[in-house]
Amino acid sequence: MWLGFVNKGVLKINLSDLSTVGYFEKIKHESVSFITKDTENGLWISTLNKGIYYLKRTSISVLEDGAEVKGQQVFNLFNGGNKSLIFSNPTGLFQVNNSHAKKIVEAQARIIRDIKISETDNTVLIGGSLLL
Amino acid sequence: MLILTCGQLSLQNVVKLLCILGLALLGVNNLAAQIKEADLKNEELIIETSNYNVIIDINTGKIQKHLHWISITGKKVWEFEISDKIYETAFAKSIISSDEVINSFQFVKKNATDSQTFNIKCKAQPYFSHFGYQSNKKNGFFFGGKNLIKFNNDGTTLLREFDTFIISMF
Repeated sequence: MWLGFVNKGVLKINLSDLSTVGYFEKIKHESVSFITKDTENGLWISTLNKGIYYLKRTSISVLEDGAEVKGQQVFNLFNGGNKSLIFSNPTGLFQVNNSHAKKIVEAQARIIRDIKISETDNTVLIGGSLLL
Repeated sequence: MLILTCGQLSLQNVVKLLCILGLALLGVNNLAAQIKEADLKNEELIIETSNYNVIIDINTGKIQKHLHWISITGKKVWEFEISDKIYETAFAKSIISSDEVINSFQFVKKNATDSQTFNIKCKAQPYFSHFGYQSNKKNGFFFGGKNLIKFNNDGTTLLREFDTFIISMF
């Protein structure tokens, strides 16, 4: 199990003995808001201060596809199926394919706080709050 | 925190209006084929409170079957439901002990006659979580505050306390 922390990155926990069996040095000071896996067993990690990271085996890379993506506060992150990733940041809702992020919903004075993807009918529900 | 503003509309209509506004947002994107725009009123409404989300059936005002599990203090685990009048009152009950103060967690409908503004507030500490991970059908795991907690039919077990707040898991 992976756990994300405030200002302390991620830890991998062995549920048998609850020991820490992994972490990533590069993001050890970040606040990790969401974690998900892709079909290739890579780990997508969103942070509240430094955008989105991708971990695979021992390598780690950061998603930097334009100013609206790079280094942003990312609230959530979901596997969108068909090898895509869906996430939201203060500028809107994005879909990532092949490391290319495409904005699919403009934030428009709203903060998209939550995403729910239905597995049955392939719909996306977004929830949020107005910028006041 | 979600703040609703309305004129002569009922609160439930305001909620539906917000859903429609949400749909308007969704309508201008390139995923139109994947986003079902119709019948959202029969779907679920995701309401953000201070630090977590509550999913409510907007037709009944009830939280859906999969109740979210919330840690109020990092030690107490609560489940809660919304009363029949959506947003007006929410009350919590402890699943550990029945004598906990029932209003430690509640939504507050602000009595604002001028602006007709309703504030939904969570009176609790930051960094709670809903259910986050299930290893199999017997054991589920979630976090509250700095604690990693397991639950199953026998109850809840504190597995490990960390030195900082957990905010995500997979």
